[in-house]
Amino acid sequence: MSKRQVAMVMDLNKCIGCQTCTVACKTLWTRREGMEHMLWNTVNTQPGSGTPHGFESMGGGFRDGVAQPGKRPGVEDFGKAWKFNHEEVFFGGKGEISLAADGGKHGKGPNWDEDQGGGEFPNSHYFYLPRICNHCTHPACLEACPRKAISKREDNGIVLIDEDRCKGYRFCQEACPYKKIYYNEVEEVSQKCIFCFPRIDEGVTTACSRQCPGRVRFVGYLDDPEGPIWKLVTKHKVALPLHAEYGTQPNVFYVPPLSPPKIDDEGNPTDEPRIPTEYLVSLFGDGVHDALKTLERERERNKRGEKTELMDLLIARKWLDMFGPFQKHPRDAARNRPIPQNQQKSRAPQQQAAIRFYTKEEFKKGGRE
Amino acid sequence: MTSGMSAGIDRRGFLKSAAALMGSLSMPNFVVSSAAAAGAGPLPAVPLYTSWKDVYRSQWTWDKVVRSTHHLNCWFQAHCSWDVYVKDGIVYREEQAGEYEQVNAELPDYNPRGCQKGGCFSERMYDPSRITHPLRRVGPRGSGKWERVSWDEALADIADTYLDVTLEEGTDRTIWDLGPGIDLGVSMAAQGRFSMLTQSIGLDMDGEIGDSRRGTLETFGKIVFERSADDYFYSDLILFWGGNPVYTQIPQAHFFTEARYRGAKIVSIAPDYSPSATKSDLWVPIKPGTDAALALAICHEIVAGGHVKETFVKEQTDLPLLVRSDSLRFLKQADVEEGGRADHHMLWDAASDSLQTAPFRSLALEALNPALDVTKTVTLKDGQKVEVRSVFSLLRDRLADYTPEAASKLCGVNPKLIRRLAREIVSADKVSNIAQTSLCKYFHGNLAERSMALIFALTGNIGRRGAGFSGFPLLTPDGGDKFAIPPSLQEAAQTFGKLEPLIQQRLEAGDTQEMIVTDLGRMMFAPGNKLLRLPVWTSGTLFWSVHGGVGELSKRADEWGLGNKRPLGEYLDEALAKQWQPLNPPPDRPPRIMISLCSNTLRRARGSEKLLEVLWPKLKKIVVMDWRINSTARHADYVLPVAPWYERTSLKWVTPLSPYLTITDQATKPLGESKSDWSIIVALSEAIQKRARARGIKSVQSPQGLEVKLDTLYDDLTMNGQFKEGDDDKVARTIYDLGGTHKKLSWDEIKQKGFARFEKLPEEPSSIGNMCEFPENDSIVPLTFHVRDKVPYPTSSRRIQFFVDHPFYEELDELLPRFKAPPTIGGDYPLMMTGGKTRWSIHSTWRDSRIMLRLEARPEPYMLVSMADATKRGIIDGDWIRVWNDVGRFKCKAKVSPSLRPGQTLMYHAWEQYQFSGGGDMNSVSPTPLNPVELAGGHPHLTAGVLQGQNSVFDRDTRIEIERIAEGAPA
Repeated sequence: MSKRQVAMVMDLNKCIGCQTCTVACKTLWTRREGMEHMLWNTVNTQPGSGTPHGFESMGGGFRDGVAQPGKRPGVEDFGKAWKFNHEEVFFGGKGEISLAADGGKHGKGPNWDEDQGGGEFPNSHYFYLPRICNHCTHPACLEACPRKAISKREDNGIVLIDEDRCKGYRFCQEACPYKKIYYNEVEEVSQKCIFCFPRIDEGVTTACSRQCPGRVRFVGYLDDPEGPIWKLVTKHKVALPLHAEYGTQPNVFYVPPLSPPKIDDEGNPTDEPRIPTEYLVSLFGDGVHDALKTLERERERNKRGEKTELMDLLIARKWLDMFGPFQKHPRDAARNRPIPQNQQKSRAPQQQAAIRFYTKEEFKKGGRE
Repeated sequence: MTSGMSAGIDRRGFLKSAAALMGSLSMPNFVVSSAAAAGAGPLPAVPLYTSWKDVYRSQWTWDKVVRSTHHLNCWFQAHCSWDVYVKDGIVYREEQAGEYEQVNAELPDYNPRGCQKGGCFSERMYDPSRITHPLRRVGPRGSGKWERVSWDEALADIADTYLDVTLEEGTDRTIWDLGPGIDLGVSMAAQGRFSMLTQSIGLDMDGEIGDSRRGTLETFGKIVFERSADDYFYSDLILFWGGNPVYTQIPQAHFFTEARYRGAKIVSIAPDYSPSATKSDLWVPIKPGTDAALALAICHEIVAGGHVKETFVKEQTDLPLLVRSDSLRFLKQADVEEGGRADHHMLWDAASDSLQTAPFRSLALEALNPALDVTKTVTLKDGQKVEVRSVFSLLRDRLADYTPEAASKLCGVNPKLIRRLAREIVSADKVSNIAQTSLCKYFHGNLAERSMALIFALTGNIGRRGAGFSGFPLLTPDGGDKFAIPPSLQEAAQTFGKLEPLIQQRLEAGDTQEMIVTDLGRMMFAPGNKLLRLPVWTSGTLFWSVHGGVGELSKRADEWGLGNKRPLGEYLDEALAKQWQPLNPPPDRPPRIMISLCSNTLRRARGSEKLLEVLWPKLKKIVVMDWRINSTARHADYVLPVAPWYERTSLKWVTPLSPYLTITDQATKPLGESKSDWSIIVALSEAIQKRARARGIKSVQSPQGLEVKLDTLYDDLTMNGQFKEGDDDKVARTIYDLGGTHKKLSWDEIKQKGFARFEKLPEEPSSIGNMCEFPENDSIVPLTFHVRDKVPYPTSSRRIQFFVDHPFYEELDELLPRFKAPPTIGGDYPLMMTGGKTRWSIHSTWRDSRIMLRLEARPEPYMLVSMADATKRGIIDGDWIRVWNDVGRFKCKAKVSPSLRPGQTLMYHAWEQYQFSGGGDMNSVSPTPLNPVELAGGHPHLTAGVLQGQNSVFDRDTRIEIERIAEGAPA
């Protein structure tokens, strides 16, 4: 057991499915070779097949403490990073050519059923479910790794794959019931969300939480009674784990979504929310009933002008309050101070530039030569 | 271990990776030259590798951070302050600055703002669509065959064509295709001065993009007024009605979800279960295009239930004003009194039981107590007796047609639900709405807007904190015109001083500052003003329709049930003949040169294939200025590489929704040979001056008789070299300093901070309509100068006006708000093709971005189809479908969704032409016929001006049929 556990709460009533989190993560972490298809953070419309497609029926995790067999998701399941023919379209000298993904022979992307959901018109329903690695208290990936390359950090419980030890056997991919581990075919290692440990170590919250315009994500220590996580998870019990039955004790929690009422045959609203509560229970467990009731009750109280800690927390009038002890501005992270002006190297502008990061091997060589 | 790691990528490594990248992209050599230009100077410190963690740590390092943003037309969601992280001379990522101060303890702060598009602009600006050198077409237009040319060569050629055209055919043959991305900042300072000096024509795009909010203009005399997004936090009831903020207000959507937690209720009224409906407490499905019927039924219930806020209505609206039953025009003072004024309206005072002149200089009623529901007979000054009725009385008769039962048959909402909606509205203290620019893209959207505005007026939900009808948002620093218009800064006072006597005269006559400033904007549409030389603008919609040939698509418009009394062409002829709608150049003077600035016409204009057929052959030069290749650039003669936002310093308009002037500070030098818009236009003027001198050309006359000096164009544009190429920062600073909206921070300070809250209302035609203060410690509530301070509105009646006194409105029975059935634009086909702004791009700017295409539902154009309509046609999700009607066809993929209403299809916008295959694109089926009421003019507030009073486009009620087709089949 780690001494402490960092955790995240995602408020699904505030998530608007914009994927700024996905992009924030992508641009910061997964631009190395072999990482093209990786989206450590995903957002999917629910009900839906999720990312990787159909992950909920791919097995893994534990039942009654016993590890369950699982499938290893492939690149197509996650959605490939398609190649596009921009150059051919723009400069190829062919008038009638169209832009196409993988020559028009693309498979399904990671957000294929966006905004579709379930139900029958007019009782259609859907909501957005963002997901990262759950940094579980009982990680199936950790137990499955024969190389002992996966560990939970002592100080904060972040689950990390040691890319020096990892040999790419991918048992972790099979074991993870949330299917949040990717495989890098170039570097030949498994990779996944690192909970922005370089930022967290500097007191800066994760990129996905800090860049979320919907102000969906709270970050902090699970056991901090002053922080938002403990209050939402333990005190008010409105934040629930996803698929707790997978047995890994995930450390990402969700405030379940309210929804407008169903409409009867004559077109009048009923008293029933349009997202079937049993569907939410299938995702977030029995706690959904009380969580939804609590949210509605506290909203009503707030409407009447009564003070409610829960609503104040979820509103988060001061944005930084959402991030517990991780409120430092990224520019002010001490180890990343910009190079002083007089030490900056002048560089001529590039003709055509694109950022690309070192792989481990390149990094090593680059450092030694 | 970590201290030496701040430059994790050394030069050598960068060269290697850059070379690898270039190899893989097989870019033509004019785009990518040798990588040898990279890196100069000594190597930076080399990090030591200790473990795999260093790889990640090194990814989160940088050389410098610069405050910047994306100066494009995100409109409702503009703008956000970003930190741009620079490493090894390129922008490697961006992250929101997140430093907006809380406005007050009650309100959520604005942090962090931003969206996924802004979050990957660093990827976008270096992707394969980026151009870094001037390109000249070598094959036929659109063939994709280019050669790289030098700036000198490109500009000299363009300058020579410009001189030929200007000398032989006139100054009005050069057209600036000004896209909605114009900044009203540094870019427009250059274009504005160029147009002012040369009298070349700029196209006003607000109508052409369908944003001109006609019904709002008809009702309020203006379209620009909007609250700050945090003001929604104070609302009790928010109506999502005519907008999809979950897609289009991403940075401030949290104010809505947080308002719910505060206790506000959100009601979504939309045909489909839209992404925004998922955030509501009640979703009311409605037949598309029938919103006016629902709104009027709600009004019916408000009136029938005795819930009218009489004090508000009597003072602020035209409801008590009297209308003559014989002429169906307002009764004027001039009708009843010798020497009476034609701009003074009359009302019946209940206190004295007599006919009285309505207040004119102020809305304050003082001792008057107007009768609201009144019919009287009055004696005119010639002794004639006529019946007069109050607008309220006329409206009451009109509303009788819209009982909930009657309206239900039109809009498909159950009468019980209509009554419930009305109850919720009258019982909430503060009602607000999100009405963006969707309803005004329906042919009869003006009637929907007028009807909705009536709900807000009857209940007094206007101009109060948390309560209000939302207009069109715009907020512009007011230094731009002061820079663009005078010959030089030294002559500014003298230049504008010439207007002073006129302004004084009007103020004395009782006109308001707002009316006068708005009229200054209208002057740009009537070129040749001898008093004040201005840039020239004309309506983009009319231009494409008349000169571009788009109007030809509406040849069969009279079969589409538009409700016109005469053939459509007659209304246009009448409006042009009476100069109600100014069109420059006039129909008999074809345009010859088009320069696209921040624009992508062929992607955007409805029916744009027609432009290629009709307009393109008329044009001797088509020049596109952009940082990327787009649909229009593909068909251009020259593509001039513009430096994107991170590579230049500028300022730009924002909106009251986020009332912070947000600047870009140059983070890296322009890539390759790209230049800022300012620099390109300055260089073009220099080339023209040089060629004019070489050819011995001095000056020409504009058609209106203004002298256009060609041999001193550069000297005049740059104020004799005071503002040269590359002086973007100096121009931005000057515009900032000339403006009156920001006094707390200096230009250098705002560049450091990145943003600054507006301190006061800009005195500028495109912003003054907000008519409110900009308090530092509270939300912004538009129209308070009218509601609180009783300043008259800029309408003909000087009130919020529901009776529109114009002959076209009488002819088309739109004197009062009403419902008109959606027409069958494109022919009598069973499906309605609705649309909306995509989540995944700002117009076309990110439309073919690799990251965005991957994260969107599909990487290619797709149409959302309901389960029922798909099943009926044997279409399954992912099928290719052909979409067609009488005017055109295209093909795309089908996405079958339970959230779509049967009978409705939905295609989010901005796919580039080249993303379609097999012929045609989504604009091919949209003929966008002109609506005759929008051709009205010769009226105090229905007159073309900046952003408003022009023709709009209508694609929301286009009728189509779809069918499944085989892969590879033509459209």
